[in-house]
Amino acid sequence: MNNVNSALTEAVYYILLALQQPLHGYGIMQQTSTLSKGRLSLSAGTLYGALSNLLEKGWIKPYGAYDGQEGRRKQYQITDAGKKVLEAEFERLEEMVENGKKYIQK
Amino acid sequence: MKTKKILIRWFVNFDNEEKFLNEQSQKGWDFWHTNGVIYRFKACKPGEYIYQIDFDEKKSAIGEDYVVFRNSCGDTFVHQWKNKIYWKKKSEDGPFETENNTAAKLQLTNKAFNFHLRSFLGLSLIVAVSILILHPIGRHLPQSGFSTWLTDFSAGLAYGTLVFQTLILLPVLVKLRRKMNSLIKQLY
Repeated sequence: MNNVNSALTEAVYYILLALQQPLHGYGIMQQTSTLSKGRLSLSAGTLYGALSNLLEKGWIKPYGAYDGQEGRRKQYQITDAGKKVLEAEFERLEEMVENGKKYIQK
Repeated sequence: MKTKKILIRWFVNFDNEEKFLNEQSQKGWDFWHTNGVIYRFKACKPGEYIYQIDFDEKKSAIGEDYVVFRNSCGDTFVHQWKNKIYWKKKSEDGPFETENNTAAKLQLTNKAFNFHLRSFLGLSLIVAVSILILHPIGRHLPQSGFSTWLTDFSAGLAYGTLVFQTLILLPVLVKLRRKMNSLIKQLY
């Protein structure tokens, strides 16, 4: 589960990017959509599964108090472990882009 | 003008069911209830809503209720029948998911596969109980109307369930399995 070296999916990458600041579910959806200029729209169902995976891996954590009260939405934030994963992924992407630049003539 | 409509349908494949609901919405019928056979609709503007069929998730690490979570993200909960949850949203707000999100499709297909597999295993249990318990009891009871009935009933139940499993459920499981495999190939 904790294999840091494997590539992140686009959804996970954008969720982690969005969670540099605390956000609730709907906020994450809006943020990923804004960051990708509307190209990536996550459904709430997908997001639910992704968030519970990320919580299990310890890459994100709940932010602030959540008492389970109706109408109150839980917020999430990236952890240090999550930041490390994100940085490693960023380096991997950079390498891919660099190599692409070398070999793909536009 | 008619404002309500009832249709009788029976779906094993949730893809077809979802398509059916979306087609009804295009015709101006907003789905709001089903018991698995009878589908109830209210009049709406043609194409006003889009629908998604989904399967319930156990409360996991997230600790928030699945339905509450999705509602708070802007999806409207329509109805739940067994494990199946029906969602809708205004079609003007865009689709539920980006079309090329393979990982998300894979996850949903996997949920559907597990849902049908559970039904399959549940029915297998019925077959096993009929053949291994009810049928022998019927045969070993002293000859009577009840023992004959029990023998016939258990045999009928076992055969009927087996036929349903092989002819209807198994093809769906195979189809979902193939869909998952082709989605996995798209990931690499």
